[in-house]
Order: sequence, then C-alpha cells, then structure tokens
Amino acid sequence: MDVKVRDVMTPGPIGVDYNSSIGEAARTMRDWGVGAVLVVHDQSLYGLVTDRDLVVRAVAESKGPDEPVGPLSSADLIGVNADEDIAEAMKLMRENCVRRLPVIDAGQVAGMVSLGDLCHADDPASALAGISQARANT
Amino acid sequence: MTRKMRDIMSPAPERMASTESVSAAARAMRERGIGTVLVMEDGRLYGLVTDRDITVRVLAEDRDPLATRLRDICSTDLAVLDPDDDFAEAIRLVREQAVRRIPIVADGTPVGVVSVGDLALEADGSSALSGASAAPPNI
Repeated sequence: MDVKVRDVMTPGPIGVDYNSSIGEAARTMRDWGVGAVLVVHDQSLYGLVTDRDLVVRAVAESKGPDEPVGPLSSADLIGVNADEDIAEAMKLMRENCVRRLPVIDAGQVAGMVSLGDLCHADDPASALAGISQARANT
Repeated sequence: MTRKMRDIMSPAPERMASTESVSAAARAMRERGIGTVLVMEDGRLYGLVTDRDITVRVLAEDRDPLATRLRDICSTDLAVLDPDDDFAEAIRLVREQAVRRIPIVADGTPVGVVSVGDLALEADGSSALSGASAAPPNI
C-alpha cells in the first residue's frame, strides 16, 4: 500500500503571526522541536520561515530578536494534498528545491511534511532515518 | 569500495575564533552557503555552531547576536573523525551520538565537515531525497 502524505506529516500546523518578533518565532521552533513555522497575516496563510531564514536573513543583517518575523518569510508556498502519495511530495520537493511543504486537507492547512519525514517513511530501517529522528539541538 | 571521509567531506571548513560574534558567524553562513562554523581557540578546535544553534540558543533567548560570542553558545565535546575513517564509521557515530555534522580532523587541524546530507548523497546518489538535500540553501 502506498504511504500517503497524511501518514507521515507533522499534524497540527504550527504558526506565528506576521507581526510576531523573531525571538518569538525562534521560541516556537525551539519549544515544538521544529525547523520551520507558518506565518499568518490577517488570518490567512502568508508564508513559511525556517530557522536558517532567521539566521541568514536577520542575524547576518545585524537584525536582533525584537524585529518582526513576517518580512523574513518565504511566500509563494508550494503545498501538497494530504491524500497524495509520498512520492508526489518527493517530486514537489525535488522540482521546487524545497525541504518542507505545507499539507492541505479540505482546503485547510493540516500540517507540514519535511524531507526528514519522507526519509523516515521511505526506509524506516535506514541509518539516515535514525538520524532524522534524533532530537533537535536545544 | 568504501569511500573515506576525505572523499565525502566538504573541505575547507569555515573556522572562526571563539571570541567572534554570532552575527559574524551568521554572515559567514550566508556568504558561503553553509550551516556550520567551526569554533577555534588557541589554534585548536574548540566547538561547532550551526544555524539551528543560533536560532535556539541566541534568538529564542532574546540575546543580542552582535554582543554574543561564539564561545558562549557553541557545542563542545565534539565527536570528530579522521579523513581516513570510512562511511560505516560515520554512520555509527551519527546513530550513537545523534549528531548531524561531524568535523574531520587531521593532526589536530580541522580539514572538513561531513553532514547528514553528505552521507545521504553517498548512501544513494540517485534518490529524490539526496536531490533535495543537495539543493542550494536559503539565502
């Protein structure tokens, strides 16, 4: 049986408001053990921001944790339907050079799927899957 | 044939003094498209700092990246490998110690870094996952 995106995704989308501070976004990533959060603006999905984005788009530009996170996010998101096979998610990541996709279910954002999630689903016994399951740095 | 760390590693790792600021490390990460900076003290490898470390140990703590030194936030007690160590040894290390980036050290001098992405490429150079893992980082 083909594995579906909903089977491997991280459910319950984690988001921050466009006007939240960079520090708040970083704490959200830390507390949930994730590397990316969705950014919501005026109650609609605006974009996605990763831990790396905070570093290369803010810290490298001498911005501190007090500044708003919204402008750092990537808009024009590529989403994947929860009922798609994971092969489709892999294809989307490869074609768009992204490592994370918001998962859409019944018109709503239902979660997020990462390269690590697919890696684990692809071959749960592999050494690399073990790594990707390891606890994030804190 | 089993390939060695010297064949797999990203050579010429970014090295910075432990007294440098977090902001300086972030600039190096952006400019070189890397996620890891090796932290040096007294000519020796002292620690390692990643983009994730900067997020959780600096930004999440509301610390000022310009005023925070690498010494204060880097990971120490590093697991390292020799350029002549093989792929299996690297896999064993990442499994046992849950590390994602390993400095490669020759005669006390860091000469490279091996990441989980590098190991994924080595394990299966044709997979979709390694393709995505080889994608350019965000800038």
